[in-house]
Amino acid sequence: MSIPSVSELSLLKVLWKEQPLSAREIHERAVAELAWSFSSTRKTLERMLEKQMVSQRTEHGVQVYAAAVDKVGTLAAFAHDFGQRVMELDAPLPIHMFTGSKLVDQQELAELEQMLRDWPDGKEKSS
Amino acid sequence: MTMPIDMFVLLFAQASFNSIVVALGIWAVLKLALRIRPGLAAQRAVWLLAQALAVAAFVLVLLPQTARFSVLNGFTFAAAPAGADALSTTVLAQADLAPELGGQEASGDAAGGRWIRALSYLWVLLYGAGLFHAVLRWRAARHELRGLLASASVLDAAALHRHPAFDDAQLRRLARCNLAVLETPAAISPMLIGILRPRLLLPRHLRDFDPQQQQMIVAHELTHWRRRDPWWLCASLLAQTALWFNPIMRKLGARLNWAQEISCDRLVLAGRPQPQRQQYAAALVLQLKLQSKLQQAVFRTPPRPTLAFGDACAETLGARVRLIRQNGSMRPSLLSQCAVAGALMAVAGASILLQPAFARPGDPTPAPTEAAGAVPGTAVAPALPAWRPPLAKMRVNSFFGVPRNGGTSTHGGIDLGAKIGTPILAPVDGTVIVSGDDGFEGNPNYGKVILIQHGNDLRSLYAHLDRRSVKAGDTVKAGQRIGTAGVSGAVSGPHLHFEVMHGGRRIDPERVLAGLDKYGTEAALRDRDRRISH
Repeated sequence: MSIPSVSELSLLKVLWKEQPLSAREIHERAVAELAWSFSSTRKTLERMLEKQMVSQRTEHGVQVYAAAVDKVGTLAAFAHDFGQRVMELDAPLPIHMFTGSKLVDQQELAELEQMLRDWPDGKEKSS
Repeated sequence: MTMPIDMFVLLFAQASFNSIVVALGIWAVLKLALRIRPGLAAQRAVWLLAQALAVAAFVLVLLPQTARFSVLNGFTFAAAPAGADALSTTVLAQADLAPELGGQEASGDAAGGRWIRALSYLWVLLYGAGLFHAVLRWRAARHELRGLLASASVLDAAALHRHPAFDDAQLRRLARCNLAVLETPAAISPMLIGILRPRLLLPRHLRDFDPQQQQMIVAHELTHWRRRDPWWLCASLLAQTALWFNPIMRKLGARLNWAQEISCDRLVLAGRPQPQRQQYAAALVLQLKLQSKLQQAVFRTPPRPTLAFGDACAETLGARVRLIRQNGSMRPSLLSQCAVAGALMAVAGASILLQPAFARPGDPTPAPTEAAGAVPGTAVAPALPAWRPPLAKMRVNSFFGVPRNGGTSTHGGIDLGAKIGTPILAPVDGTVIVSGDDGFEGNPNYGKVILIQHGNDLRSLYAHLDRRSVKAGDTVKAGQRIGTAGVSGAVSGPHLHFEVMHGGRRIDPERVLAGLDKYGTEAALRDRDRRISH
């Protein structure tokens, strides 16, 4: 499955909420998030059609679109892709990550787990 | 027009260099302090102050007037006025050192000056390119972040109530500080994003953690928010971007990050028993494992080796887990914190006092001068009276008529090395006709000036003064103190620019001040002889 771009995902999210929709309707629902022109929405829809992310048919003389990819699977793939990239990013971002901004290798993980096993029981302090 | 640009470029290069030197000094001081008081590593203020001082070391050099605080003015390059290839560096020798050091100070010559200037221009270009690159990287990073956020869904009040990670107190705080909570299917670390529109982004898998672990993790992130950590981090990132060429800034930034994480761990765990601490550490390790799996799942590659981000040895996760295990505060005393702050500020202060001030473009050189290229003795000149020297201790840094501005003009007077505050004495009786702060004949480069009318249709001009003690209309006697030397106008270091006019034309002051040669510095004499040989 090809992973959608950020703007493609915005259009897909519109369709997952409600479909089928005409290009104009999709644009109206996504414009706040994308802040671009109708022609950009149409171009993006054409590209998504080529990638088989959306399907198109004519209803009452109007071309309407529907999502052709599954919501959960697509979102998961998309999220994992971007999640991975953000976690690996060494560019400065104003983010506080619980695990810090460092990557960790297997050896370090093994050492950390050893430390967890050797934890003092602290019975005298526990409530 | 090019003159201020030249000056700025030189100053910019110097400021960059200064910030690196100060940062290195600060880093060394902090390394030492950490050995004595390891608890300082968790003090956010220490790393913020260190970065602020490195930035201050950069900015202060760029500000005008800081050069006057330098105690090393004697070793400045007098970057000659701008022009095609003008950087005939003459060294402004310092009055009190000159006799001892003599020619040693005359290190700069025209070629060296051109090199410095060319390198400075190159550096400014390089800096701009680096900044551009940083902006591109930042934009790319923002795009990735937008993607991650696009994958997430906002948790509304009802969803938050159902989420086991939030207790009632936390829900109330969320509502108060207008913090949106989002959930993503990505196995990312829980994170706090942004400043103006703060968002707490949680991975969906967090729900599989033990509820107490979930609550402690969320408490950790909310503690960041309560302590305004994102603001400080953002300030640090801006400073790192502005001083991207300074490797220490990145190290300090990584240390700040580390201090923030450690502090939040500590605040969340304060008073909690060991089993809960173990739970917290276990949550950290579990999260790391999931992230590691995420890396492998998406690209089917083993996790890349840990990037050397900051000081790897000090900031390992092992060290963090050990700190989580340690019950009790390691907060250093106020006294030791003050001592470290004092030491850091001393490093930055020293850099301002010891800055090797590049000379500002030399003295103004307006035409017409009588003797552009004229050789003393070859021109038939009427005999003029002999004056007494305007300074008690004479030292000529630059003679009359030496080429300036790349040969397009010549020096209209002589430069006499003098520290700020050196008294200037009237060389002969006269009447003050100008005494002002705004330059001379519309040229502000002169700074504070005094112009005196003497007999024989002679006038004398004193420029770059620190203080003027006479006003227009005053009568002055030979030897009377009229003011003090300084650094007003466009100068590199303190000196007196002295001109003599006869019948409205600038003449070689040597004609009224005999025997100037013996006061000339080696570099000044060399420049003068070059003039004669041309």
